[in-house]
Amino acid sequence: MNYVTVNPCKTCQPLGAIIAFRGIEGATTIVHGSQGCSTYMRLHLTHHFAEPIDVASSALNEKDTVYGGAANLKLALKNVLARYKPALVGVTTTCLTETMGDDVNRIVNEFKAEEQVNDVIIIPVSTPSYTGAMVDGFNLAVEAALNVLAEEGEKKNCLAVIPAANITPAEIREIKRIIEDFIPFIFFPDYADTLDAPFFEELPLIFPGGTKIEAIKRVGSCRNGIILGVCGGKNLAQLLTEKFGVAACRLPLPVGLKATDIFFQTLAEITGKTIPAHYQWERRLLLDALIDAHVITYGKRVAIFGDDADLVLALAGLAVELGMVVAICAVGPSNEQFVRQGAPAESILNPVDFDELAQAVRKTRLDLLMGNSKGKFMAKEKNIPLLRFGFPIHDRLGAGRQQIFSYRGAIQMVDLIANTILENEDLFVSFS
Amino acid sequence: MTLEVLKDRRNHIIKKRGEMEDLPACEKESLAGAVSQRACVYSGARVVLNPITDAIHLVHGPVGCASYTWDIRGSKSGEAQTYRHSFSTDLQEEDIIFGGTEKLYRALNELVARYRPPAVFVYATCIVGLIGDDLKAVCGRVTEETGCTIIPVQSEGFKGNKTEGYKAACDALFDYLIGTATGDNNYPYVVNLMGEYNVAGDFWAIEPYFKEMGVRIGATFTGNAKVNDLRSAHYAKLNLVQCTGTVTYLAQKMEQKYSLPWRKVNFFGLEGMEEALLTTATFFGNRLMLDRAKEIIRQEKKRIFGPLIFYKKRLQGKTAAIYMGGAAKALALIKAFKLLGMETVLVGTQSGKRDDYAQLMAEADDGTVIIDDANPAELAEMLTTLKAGVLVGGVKERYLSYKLAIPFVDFNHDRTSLFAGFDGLVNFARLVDTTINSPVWALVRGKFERNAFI
Repeated sequence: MNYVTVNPCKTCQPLGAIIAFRGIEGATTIVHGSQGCSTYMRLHLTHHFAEPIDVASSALNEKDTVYGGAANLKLALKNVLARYKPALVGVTTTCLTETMGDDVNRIVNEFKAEEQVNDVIIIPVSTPSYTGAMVDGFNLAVEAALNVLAEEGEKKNCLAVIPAANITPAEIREIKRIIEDFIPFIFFPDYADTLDAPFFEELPLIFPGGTKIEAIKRVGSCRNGIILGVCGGKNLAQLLTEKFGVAACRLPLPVGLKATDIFFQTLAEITGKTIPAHYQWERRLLLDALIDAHVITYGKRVAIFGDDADLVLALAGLAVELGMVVAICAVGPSNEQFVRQGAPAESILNPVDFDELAQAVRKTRLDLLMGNSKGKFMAKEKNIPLLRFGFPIHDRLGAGRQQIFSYRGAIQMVDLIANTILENEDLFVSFS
Repeated sequence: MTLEVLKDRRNHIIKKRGEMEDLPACEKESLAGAVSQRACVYSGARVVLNPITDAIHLVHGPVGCASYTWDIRGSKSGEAQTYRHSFSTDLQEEDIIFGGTEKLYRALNELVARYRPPAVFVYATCIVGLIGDDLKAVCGRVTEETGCTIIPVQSEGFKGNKTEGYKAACDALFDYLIGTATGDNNYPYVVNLMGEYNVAGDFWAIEPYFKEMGVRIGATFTGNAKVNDLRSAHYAKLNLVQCTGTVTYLAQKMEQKYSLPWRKVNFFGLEGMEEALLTTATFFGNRLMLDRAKEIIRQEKKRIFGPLIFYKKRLQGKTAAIYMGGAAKALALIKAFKLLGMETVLVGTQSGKRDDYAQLMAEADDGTVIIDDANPAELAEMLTTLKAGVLVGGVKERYLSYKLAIPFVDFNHDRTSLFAGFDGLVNFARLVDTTINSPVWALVRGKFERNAFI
């Protein structure tokens, strides 16, 4: 359909910004718009991460939309400061406040002067919902935070690592585990512990964890930087290089053998160190797993979809290593980089909604679907399994605990994909 | 009260003490920055209309509003699945600048051509109100040109809170559907069920009882409803209103225009079911029907007595907290907990009205805290302070409750267990038992075992 989006394969920018701010220690977020925006996004996030998600709203009403939202935003800031005692507040805009033309920077500055707020950092970010999608909002919030906080400094032996894609808390932990073996680093934004939080003896209002504000300031002193993601995050690589003089490169998500090799190789080159033996061991474990699985997965046809181009590309890469045929690679929001990268697929759909995707799926033979929960309708109709990756995952547990990065993650993935195929084919003996 | 709350929120929270007159402050705009659990006008309208299964629900605005509401509710359909799709005009920057009416017009034409739906609901979002798209005009034009009923829903998000959305939905139903077809006037015992959304199949659990009493259900607003059932809803003889918060306004409008009387009912809980069936039979003044209703109640009570006693033994003496969207369910829940031998220590709603809170106060025991438009911080503090043994709420409250090590039961629109009718109550008791008596809470409260392997 040309004028209607049917079953969207994307969400809006403020949602991504909320996730990014969740990765700063002591931070909370206000969505400047009507009450529903923050509530819907909380609902979406809480379903996915199985965590309570507090996001405040400036709760605009009819009068405010006519006369401007300054008073409400100031009141929201005041109440959030009083209640949550945050170190930092992210303020995202919405389509409503963008169209109203609220000057959020000015409102925030006025608020700080009026209330004499000196010890809380407030970072506005412009994230209208009528352009871009979740990952763009995430990247814009990261950019805004770096612009406010980071300082150019004398370069030290330190690596800044910034995700510009939809990666899970567990994957953040895996990246940190690896980089720790190479070089001192700053991972930002680090929402590993705030979006996959443990059980607490006493529930804190703001979950502990997140990149320390001090650390974000020092991003500008890192000699090198890695942006995880090649379809988005161009703004971040540019910012690091041009504003802070950090030598930054963009890498594909380390999913599967080759992409993980690139990741390790880059770390080795940056640090001048050899890859530690235990990772080489893990690599060989992956090779072993790939060999075990190869006859099961060979020639099997998969459709891969989602709202994040980098994740879709990464999964496609792994599928190819398994000898699978990627029949369809589909990314919801329009993404030039994704199209230019050229996924190894028979058919590339971008931009796309689930309606068009379902039509493509109907027309081709498939053994497997990989993508977010919203693929469940196609899976049911086609009677093939759906392996859930990406966002949102609303009908299974453990979205935040999923870990597909590095050789380790790939090993789990290889078994999962092969076993899912076996399960579906209902074989009663081994596959020799 | 020892709880630390924001100054402007203090009078929204009160503790019942004897025959006090005070009610919590309510029916107000949510306080900015207070992290209200409420949603927006569009959300309210969508809640009421979404279960209409064979209609197209087109969200006119940027994609977010449609994305976040795609198939997130548990209303079941016996047949049509159109309502489980998400349709959006997905407005882009240039549409915001030049106006979205042309895109909407073309979108509607595409939808009508492809799906031939009995009706299309077009929801206005914040942005549409702001850029001044004339929804009514476009809908009118497409209706005229295609013959398909296109219904504008004036649900601009900033117009107020969810309650405004309920009203917008009721207006849409009243102005564009009800009264547009003739019905069967010969059968004297026809009722509409209003504010029954067939969540998890609730409607199917109560329908057989009405059948047995000889009562025909004309239309359901809006669980498992089809557009054409709603058109002739004015032919019913009685409106039974369950979810008062959402549809009382519509029942009142129907009473004015069609002299169609309405009664409050509740299909959750023993008392609720009993009253609902008796109210209906009494209204029709049919002796035989009343006898049949009484017989159904007697038999069903007898049937579920065993299971209820079983769960009561396992739950007696525990305490409960309730946080609901509207007051009707909250009230029924207090009664249900009493029946199970449990005491309600906290009851709150997102958008209860003064009358609602008066009723909740009357039903609540002394010492019960009553709260309007709570936020997570307040809920967390109160659940802990009041030592709630279980919380009944929606998804947003679930993980808050879990993080506080408080058992939880979902009684919202996205639940998957049916709670209506006599079996629904047993189902509810079973779920309360499932969460309260799970071994997990002992593990959570237990100490780290040091000597496990000695």
